[in-house]
Amino acid sequence: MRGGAERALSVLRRLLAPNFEPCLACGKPVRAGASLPGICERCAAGVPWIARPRCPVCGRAQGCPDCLRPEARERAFEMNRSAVLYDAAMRRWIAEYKYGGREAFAEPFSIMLEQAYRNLVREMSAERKIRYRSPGWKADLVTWVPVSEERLEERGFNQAELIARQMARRLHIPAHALLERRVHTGKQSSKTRAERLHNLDGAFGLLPNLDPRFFRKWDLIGTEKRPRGSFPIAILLVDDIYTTGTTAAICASALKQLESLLGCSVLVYSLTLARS
Amino acid sequence: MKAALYAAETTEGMVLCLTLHAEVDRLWRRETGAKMVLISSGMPLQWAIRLNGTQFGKEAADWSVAEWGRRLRRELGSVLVRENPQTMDSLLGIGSGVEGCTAGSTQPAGQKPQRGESGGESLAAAAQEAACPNRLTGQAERLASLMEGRSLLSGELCSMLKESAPELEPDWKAIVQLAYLRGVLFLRSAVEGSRNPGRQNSGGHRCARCGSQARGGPCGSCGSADCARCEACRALGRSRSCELLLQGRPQARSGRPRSRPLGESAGSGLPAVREANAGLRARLARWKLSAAQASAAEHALRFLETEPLSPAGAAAEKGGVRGTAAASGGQAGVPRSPKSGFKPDTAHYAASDPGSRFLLWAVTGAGKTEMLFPLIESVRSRGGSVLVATPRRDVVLELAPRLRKAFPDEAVVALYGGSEERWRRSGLTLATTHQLLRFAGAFDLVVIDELDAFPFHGDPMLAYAAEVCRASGGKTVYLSATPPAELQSLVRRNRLACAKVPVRYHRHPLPVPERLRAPSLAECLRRRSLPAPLLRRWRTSLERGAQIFIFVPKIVLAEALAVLLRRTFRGIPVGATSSEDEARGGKVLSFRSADLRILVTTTILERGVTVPRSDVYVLDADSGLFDEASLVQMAGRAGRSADDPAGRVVFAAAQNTKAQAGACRQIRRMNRLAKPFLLPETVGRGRLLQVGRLVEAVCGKGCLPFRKPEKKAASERDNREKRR
Repeated sequence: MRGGAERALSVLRRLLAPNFEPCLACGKPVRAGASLPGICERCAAGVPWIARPRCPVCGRAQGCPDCLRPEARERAFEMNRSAVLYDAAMRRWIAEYKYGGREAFAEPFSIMLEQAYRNLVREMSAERKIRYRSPGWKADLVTWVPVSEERLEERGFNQAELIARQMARRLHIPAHALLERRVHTGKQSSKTRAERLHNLDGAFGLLPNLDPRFFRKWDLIGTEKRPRGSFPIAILLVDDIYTTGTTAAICASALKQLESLLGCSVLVYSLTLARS
Repeated sequence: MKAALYAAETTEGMVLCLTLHAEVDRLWRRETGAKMVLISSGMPLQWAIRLNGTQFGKEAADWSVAEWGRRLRRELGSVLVRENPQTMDSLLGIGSGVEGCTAGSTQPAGQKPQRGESGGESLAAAAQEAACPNRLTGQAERLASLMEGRSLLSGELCSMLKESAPELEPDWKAIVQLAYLRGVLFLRSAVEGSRNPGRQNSGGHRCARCGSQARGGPCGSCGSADCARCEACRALGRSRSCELLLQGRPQARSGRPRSRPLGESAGSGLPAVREANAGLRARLARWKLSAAQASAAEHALRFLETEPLSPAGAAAEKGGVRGTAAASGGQAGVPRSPKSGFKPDTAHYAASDPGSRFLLWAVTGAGKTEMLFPLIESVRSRGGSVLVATPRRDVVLELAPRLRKAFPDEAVVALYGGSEERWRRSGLTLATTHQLLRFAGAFDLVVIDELDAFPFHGDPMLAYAAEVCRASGGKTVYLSATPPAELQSLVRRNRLACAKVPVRYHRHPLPVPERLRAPSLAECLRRRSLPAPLLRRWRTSLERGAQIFIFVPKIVLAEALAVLLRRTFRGIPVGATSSEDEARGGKVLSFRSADLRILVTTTILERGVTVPRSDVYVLDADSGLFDEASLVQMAGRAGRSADDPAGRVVFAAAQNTKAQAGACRQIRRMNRLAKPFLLPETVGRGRLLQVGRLVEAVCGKGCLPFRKPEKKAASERDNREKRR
């Protein structure tokens, strides 16, 4: 009897009390219906969006010497687009998310990523409409940069997978794990540029037991797009931060191995949360 | 993380045991020749801990893999509700083949002397101990002593080992497992599920480290779909269902309780008491306290040195749950809240167990730290360990050198976020309140400084941590100038021992706030003019060479007011600061050195700041953001030094509030209590000053004829006293 009364009271309290969630970044209360869920208006206003990328390859907002290097041409991915600049605030947010275990950041991050994807679609479609008069561009599959077993054990989640899956669910794009991390190389963030460029060699590969049923669906995608012939399949590769592009390039070349399995060409587009 | 599970043969049948390192268990059980059946090569830790200790009958010895799987699932029951049934077997880690092993032969037990464990088991334990490799045994002993009084997540353990005992770190799992088998280390799931999940809206998870509720979700670390993580204590490492929480034995006293100086015996006849009093005074004399300080410290010492009210209860607590398996979940001395939805705070703990707590209610500027010294000395001389917890890092940094100076023989350890001494231990620990989460049953005296300050006040997690870190039979001393209302009412009802220090160390009364009616600050800023009575007072303050502290309720008002003030008082440096100001430390310093004459600030500087000659003005004192405690604290910024003991305090507000009236009443009451301790000349001066100010306010720019000479006299007297 008493328990029942208490429960009724707690229900009443929940109905009457305004539900102010604290902002993930600053702890101030967030109004319902904020543009980025869980982030207060003031913090959301400080997000350094990349509205117009200057480098067509890596999506950087400034000029980009990296992409002018000759070896950059051989990268296996088509292009990278990032949602935001990797400034001090973003560095803090992403560190909270990745190392501090605040998985609640996944939701606003996936929305930021979605924004970047929409920009990419707009960009690609515009080009296509002029050139081919074909309907809009669309990614066929979302996948993500894997983390090693050890890291997964430590963190409890793959930071890229979480945001990729959330975004894919909202956009109704199929999401699937395709890659595995073969060697545990330590954090990229604690390495210098030269170390980063080479320590990842052979670190990524295709998952060994990919489900063949899955590829049949891809055939459907191909025929739907262009009934007569094969069509390149566009894969979105999601990661949290793009710095030198090494991770994206190596993952993309691993994904390119799918071409021989599938018999149609694969184009990899890197989509990252932040561009440093 | 994951843990393996095996069934071990006992006299009654089979019992499930969890292990982090099956090889160690095999060695451990080799001697008894008990059959060991490995059931799971690795399942989510929280499940293994839940299953640990489950008994089965004799028939279990012949069960197949599938049968074990069924049994485990039945045992786990509602825990598995949210799991995907298809992947359940791989998640439980069964199916990889049950392997039995019967190692060694039965050995006649009983050559070794009995150890502290109970009954016939200890014989077997002693025999088993001999069987384990000596090196590992030694390492386990080492680990047990490192873990004494500690409560650490596995990640924290590794980082402690890396620093304190790097040779243990590589195979910590084996060492932990052996220490656990020997009963000197307890393993828990960092977030524990309740027996009936689903009844509470949070899914029934509770953090074993900080006592907060936690929410479940999928986890890549253990694979479970309902692995909860605690958001509340996230800053000190991730507490998860599948994370291992290791708790050591309660801290052992570093020496035998030494006989107290002068042979006191608490609670005996009158002569003994008189003698004891003399002894107490003699010990207090060393610290050169003022009369008021000494009298309060004496009270507190007497409280510390009497035995707990119910020694039988304390003993029962000590020998209770701790010694048995970790699976029972209960911990001795850890208070459990009656209902999981209810979050108890300090007052709740104080009310439930008043015999072990003491409130030292000392006005702002009374010299609380000095009063602590005799208490620390008392506990240390009896071999106990002491913790001084304070809400802010700055205070830790400021207190550490003072404690080191007062106790040159002690290795004072200062713990705070990013501290270098993170894993060091000593008899005297100084820590921010969050660091308490890393201890369990460690301290005989826990001192909570600034009890009513953020973040301690209103955070049930920290109150819980303060309870858990105290050793059973230990005592807690709360320090505050403005104790929360609940504690005050406990004191009034004689439910909580308390000593008041109503006078500042310089023996002058506290400045009583003057209440001034003024339009709201927002109004003033809109009109870009400040009320004349305030301006007049500010001018007087500036003329007498005082620093002006202006408190405003909101951050946005601070800078706006500073701009207005700069325009009004040309040539006078005005600063504004708030919690969002990164240069706050520098501004406070330049305010202290009088490079800034006026500092506009928020409640962030309401405590802990001492500026020699300062007057305090609280604007919008009727704001809901200023409660009685913060008004008293802000008023306490004035008149702190002996050269200028009578600073001025003004509460300017458009309307009267309970908080303002309460703050004034509290200050006046303390001044009344202070009468016996005040310097003879200062008695009644508070009122005289007020009358003087009234005159001054009426006459405009008046000066106080009686004020200056008196101040001079007072400072001369102080000087004389100092020389003495």
